[in-house]
Amino acid sequence: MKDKPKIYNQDVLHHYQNPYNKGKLDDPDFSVTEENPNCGDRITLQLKLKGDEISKVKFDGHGCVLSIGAASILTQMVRGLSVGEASELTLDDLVDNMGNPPKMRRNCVSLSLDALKDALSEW
Amino acid sequence: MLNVKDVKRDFPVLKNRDVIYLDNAATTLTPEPVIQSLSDYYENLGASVHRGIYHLADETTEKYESSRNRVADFIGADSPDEIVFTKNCTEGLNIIAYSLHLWSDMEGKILVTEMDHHSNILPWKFMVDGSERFELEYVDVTKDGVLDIEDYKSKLSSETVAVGFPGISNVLGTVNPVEKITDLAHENDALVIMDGAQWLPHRPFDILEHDLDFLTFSAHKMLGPTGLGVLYGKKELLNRMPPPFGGGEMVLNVTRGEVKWSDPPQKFEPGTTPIAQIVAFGSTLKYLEGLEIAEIEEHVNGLTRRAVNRLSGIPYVNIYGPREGEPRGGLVSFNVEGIHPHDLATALDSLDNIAIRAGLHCAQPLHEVMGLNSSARVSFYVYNASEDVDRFIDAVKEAKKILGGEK
Repeated sequence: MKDKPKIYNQDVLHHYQNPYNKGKLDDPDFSVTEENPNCGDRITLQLKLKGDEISKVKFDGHGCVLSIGAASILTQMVRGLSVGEASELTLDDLVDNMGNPPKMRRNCVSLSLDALKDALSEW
Repeated sequence: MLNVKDVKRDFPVLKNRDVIYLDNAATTLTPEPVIQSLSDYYENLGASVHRGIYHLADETTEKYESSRNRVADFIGADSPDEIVFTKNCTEGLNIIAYSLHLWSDMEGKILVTEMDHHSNILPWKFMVDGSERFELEYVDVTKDGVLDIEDYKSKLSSETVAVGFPGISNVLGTVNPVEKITDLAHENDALVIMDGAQWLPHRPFDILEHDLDFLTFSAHKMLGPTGLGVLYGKKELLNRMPPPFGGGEMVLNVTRGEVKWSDPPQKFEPGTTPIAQIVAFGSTLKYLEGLEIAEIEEHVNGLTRRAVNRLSGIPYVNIYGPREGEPRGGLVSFNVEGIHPHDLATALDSLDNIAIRAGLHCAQPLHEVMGLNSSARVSFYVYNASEDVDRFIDAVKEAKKILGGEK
């Protein structure tokens, strides 16, 4: 076998194997579930607000390294942000924090972000 | 025996790209003679068919129709008039469904199987949704990944209009009992439609022996060009079926009030068809016949057996489909415990340029029955060698080390 680079960014792999903020909130203000019909991945994102600031965030579900890794990274990114700031997050912002994952896997990365956007659009 | 080294030389992609291509159930690579044939049309022919009154058009039409003759011979059809060129296997199945829907004295139940590809489910769903004339029912698949014949028998009745099934499942690899399915359907006067996409590339097939009413398949899954499929239909059925699409060169006579359709197959081929691809498909079948279909079957079976054997020996791999020793098409679907199939596909690609399929393989109802979110799949063809299987196995083990920890 050829000497090839790592499959994924080590940071992302770490997030997948030891995800942050995984679980459920007791009393969320928003709870949105997104599914990827191509592979059955499913992420539920829950938010708790204090004023217009995201004070607590958790995610749950199952998926691949990129969808779980992205969800873990995203929850770290959004905590403490205002709703306005979190709404402005883009896929590129998330991808930049993930060491440029394969292009054809961007719909795995975007699953939790889509859930976040849906949740905030209800605000 | 197939000489893989020689065969490989015929495929420019394998010279130009460093890839172990194991996604042949999705689409296959193209050999030089087929590429030449495509070029030949554009360089030396180029006219439309059945229309022009000049030598170039005549010559193009002759080549075009000789492809149709070759397709008829390839599946043992009585007449080239029973061969309709379509966009792909999917379009063939859609044509049948829409046409039966337009057939006004037709009503009753459509039976498909839980192991069908979406292309043999969705056209029927479109047909039955909102319809008072048609209903859709699914034949069960057993735990062993084969069709439940008892369930099939119980769902068949005089109400059944048509039965659709895949010759070989694109996920399980199950080789279905064509004759039994067909005989039982015909005892109930139901029409039989076989999705032959995974069968025709790999196994000899004689349409008359199986007495199917309809058969569909795709050129691009058997070394042919993209954008082309075949719909075989019994002549008396094609004669009676209303065409679902209208356009040029499919009519004998059109007035403002009335239309008289051409005879089949033209009735089902409105507009300019993919002429270059049809001409090149003739060369494709010539190439396949040169390799001999029985030899291809033996070669692919050998690779598949090797993959099943070696994957079975890995404790953290689960294989789906028929048990070892049972007939299986040239594919294996599986999962590696602790690794998402998409991650496995990315890993195999990154580690050793191995191209496999991951996801639902356009068979979501089947995955639901199997209790799976998704699966990985390898599928083989003429240019794959046993070394490809071994490298794939090595890469699976390596991926497990990196992504899933060792068990």
